[in-house]
Amino acid sequence: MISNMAQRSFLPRLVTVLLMIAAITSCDAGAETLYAVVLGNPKFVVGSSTLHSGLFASRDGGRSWTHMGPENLKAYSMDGVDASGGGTLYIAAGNGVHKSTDSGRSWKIVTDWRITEVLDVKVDQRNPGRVFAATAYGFWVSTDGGASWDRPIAPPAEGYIYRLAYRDRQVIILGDSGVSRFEPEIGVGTFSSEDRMPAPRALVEIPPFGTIVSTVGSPTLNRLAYLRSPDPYASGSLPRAPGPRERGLARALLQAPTMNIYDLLLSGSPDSMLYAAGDAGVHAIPASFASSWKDLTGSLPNRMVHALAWLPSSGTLMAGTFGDGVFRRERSGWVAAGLDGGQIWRLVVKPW
Amino acid sequence: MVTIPSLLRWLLPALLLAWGAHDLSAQNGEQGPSADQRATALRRVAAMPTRTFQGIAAKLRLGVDTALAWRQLDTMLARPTGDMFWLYPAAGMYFYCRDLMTDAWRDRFRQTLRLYTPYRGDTENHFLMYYGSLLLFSQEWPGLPGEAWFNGKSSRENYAEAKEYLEQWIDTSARQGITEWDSPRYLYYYVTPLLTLSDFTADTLLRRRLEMTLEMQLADYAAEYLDGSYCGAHARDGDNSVIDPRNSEANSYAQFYFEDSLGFVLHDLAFAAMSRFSCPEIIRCIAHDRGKMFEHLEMKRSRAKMRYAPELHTAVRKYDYMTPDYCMGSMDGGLQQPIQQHSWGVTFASRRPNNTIFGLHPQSSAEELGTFFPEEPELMAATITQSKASYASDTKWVGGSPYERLFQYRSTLIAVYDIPEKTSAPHVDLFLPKTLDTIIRDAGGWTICRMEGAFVGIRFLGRATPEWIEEERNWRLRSNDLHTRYIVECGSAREMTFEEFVAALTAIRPADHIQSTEDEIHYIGRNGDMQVRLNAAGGENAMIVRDAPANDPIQGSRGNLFLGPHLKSRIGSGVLEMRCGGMTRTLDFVHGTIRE
Repeated sequence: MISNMAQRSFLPRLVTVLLMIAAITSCDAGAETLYAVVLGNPKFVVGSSTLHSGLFASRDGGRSWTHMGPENLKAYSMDGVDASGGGTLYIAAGNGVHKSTDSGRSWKIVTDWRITEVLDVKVDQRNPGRVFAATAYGFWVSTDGGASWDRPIAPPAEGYIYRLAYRDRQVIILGDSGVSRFEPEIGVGTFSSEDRMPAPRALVEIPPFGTIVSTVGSPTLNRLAYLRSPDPYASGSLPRAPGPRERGLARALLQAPTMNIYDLLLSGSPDSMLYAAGDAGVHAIPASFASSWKDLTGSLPNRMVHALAWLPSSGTLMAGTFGDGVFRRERSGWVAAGLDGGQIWRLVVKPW
Repeated sequence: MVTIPSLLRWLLPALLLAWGAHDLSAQNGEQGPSADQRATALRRVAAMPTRTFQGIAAKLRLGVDTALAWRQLDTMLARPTGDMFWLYPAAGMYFYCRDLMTDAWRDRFRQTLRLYTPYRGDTENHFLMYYGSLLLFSQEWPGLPGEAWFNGKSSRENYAEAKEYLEQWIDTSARQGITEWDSPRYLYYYVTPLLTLSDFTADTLLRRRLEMTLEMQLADYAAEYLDGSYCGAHARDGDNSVIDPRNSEANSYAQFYFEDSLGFVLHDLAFAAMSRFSCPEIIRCIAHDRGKMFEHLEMKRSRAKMRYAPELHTAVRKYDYMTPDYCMGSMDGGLQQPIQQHSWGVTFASRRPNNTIFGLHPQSSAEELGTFFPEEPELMAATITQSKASYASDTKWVGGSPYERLFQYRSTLIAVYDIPEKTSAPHVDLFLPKTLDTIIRDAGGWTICRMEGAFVGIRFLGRATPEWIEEERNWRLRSNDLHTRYIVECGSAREMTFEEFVAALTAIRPADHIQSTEDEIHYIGRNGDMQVRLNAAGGENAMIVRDAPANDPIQGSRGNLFLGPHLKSRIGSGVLEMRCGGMTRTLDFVHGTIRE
């Protein structure tokens, strides 16, 4: 009897210890996972095969990749619950929001017919039951880990929503007509004139300057908008775009490479760089704005770059092209980093 | 050598099909393809060389080449590809041949649907194929947990979601109109899933409403059908069918249901041949009732506009003037569907190839793609030719334009183009087929054509002087004027001779009958005094027909989903009345009933 009891208590403990070891090794210092979200391949046709798309993960800087979830997925973005160490993952996809609670071994579409063309998904890491979805037809909120979804009664509820960010307990919503903010605690959104701009695509915070937002559109709009600074004209180092000062607005237009800018990335300190990716390659400028933009595209075989990522462990810049997979920037230049032929929509780095 | 077993092998299925069809005919007093025709359709599909679920189903049902059919089925299930276009024939094959399959084969389907994730798609036909198939499969396997399905949802969840989608789609379609309207190409992908659903949905009320939706689709088609051609404006046409209307997928079903013919057999007819559905006689009557000229109006909705538009769906007004010899049909213009819109056309009641005349502004733009698709507009514009090769061509024959406005009253159409300088196509093209009997160029400013008993005259206004470009099957009439305006007049041999038509048009003199300015066209033509007022600010344009009868219900009407001698339905009512040849049939989607 004692022996049996000992066995019964020993096994769960062993499993717990093994799980803890696994968790510790997966979260060790410098550990990171690079996720590539692949929309399709160059031969993609609605109604034909869309194999080799969906979510891919790499734990070695793009030297090898593991496919996760459905192979046949028109995927746009991903997020996960940080506290779960990669156990709970979400994919934003054409079919809806896909969720896994077992590190990607099994998946469920947690949205229904009302929610389609999900372009981004974001978890509230303070309250992981709260999940936000950006779709081509509006903004949706779940408060129960995706089990049910509602549209908030707020300005960003409808219309084309491209991307989400989470800052200071607010969801920053990049929609077709500008940047809006949603406060999940009270279920209210705000949208001010400073935030009105055509087709914002990416957003980074650069202390002490403020928030930088990239836009796409016509060539005359290919510039960065400097947002939410008490006086955006105060700093003499900012490369502002020529044109009249927009009096009364807490923003200024900044000079940027002449291209549609799909992604922005701020590399780690101390020599922080601001990178911009778009349909004319990859460009960079010191985050201090001490010098001007530099074209880093170089040997990149595909100038349409839709995604950027920074690997903190190695200080490496990754670029996701639209049709030629992922590339890693090394001293010698750009090196192919797999997923050849993939239309990389988003690159995401997670600390697990 | 013909043996008794081989005879039985062929006769038995035909007898079984005859029994099934006869049984339904006896119930509903409906006619349609005979049992022989159904069996022949199956044989034709079975003999097609391509490996398809439809061909497999035909072989198995007929009992021919069954060893090959099972091998092909094994491959289809082992290597699924094609998303919802794979899913709907898989469902059709499964349910129409369920009795022929062993438990092991049925389990193969179940396993495939555990592993293969089909994309749900982004259009109405995609969603119908996806949710229609999911409804039937989840009904078939009611107790499965989430891990047994590709999407992680249990059978119960899948069934509930599919049913909810289909119910609301039926309601919206019946009350507000569909967004993928009158497509010579994609109607095919509505009819087939609806046939399968009408035959195998277990929920009685839902099944009846699905069958009514199938009838509505066919009635919608029949009202604009002219001897094998789908007339008027189309949300989505094909590169081939737009210049050769009889060569469209929809015509396969028209031949089968309206003509009792197997003149154009495509794969999906295998399912139609096995279905219990027979087209109601009144719809067949509507397809052929062309003794008198008539006007026909429809209101539809645009495809969902996710960007650059104030509304998600904008209203589309369609108008047809149908005669025994031709149909002239149009919509208001503008961009209501991406890539494949066909905005106006004259369709001849002729079995010749290329029996149509139409015009377009063959533009393409990142903004058009961005309006209807979620990806980056510029990236889509750069890569679209991989999937839609003709889209970026400025010589294409299909596609709408935001710079096109159309005004039609009976057999007169006025087309207005105000094209900005920086567009992909700084010109307007008209398609004139070489199969026309006669083309008279520049008869007093008119180009006048005849195909059999139908006549068409085209006159450009103002500075536009079109160039004639000869192509393999047609003349391309091109105007390089960015502000092109033209008038199209039609006539019929039942009204006058061709010579009289020519004389009538050449008697229309610009000084007396045509005034064209930047924002107004005043034209006195064969259908009287028409005045078009253009609203440059983007508001409503206006067409005033001074000679229209005071009680003409069609002019200016926007409150009807259908309005014409054959179909009537008020927007929002959910009730469609059909009338033809002394018959009436009312589809009441609100109560799920059919009244005759």
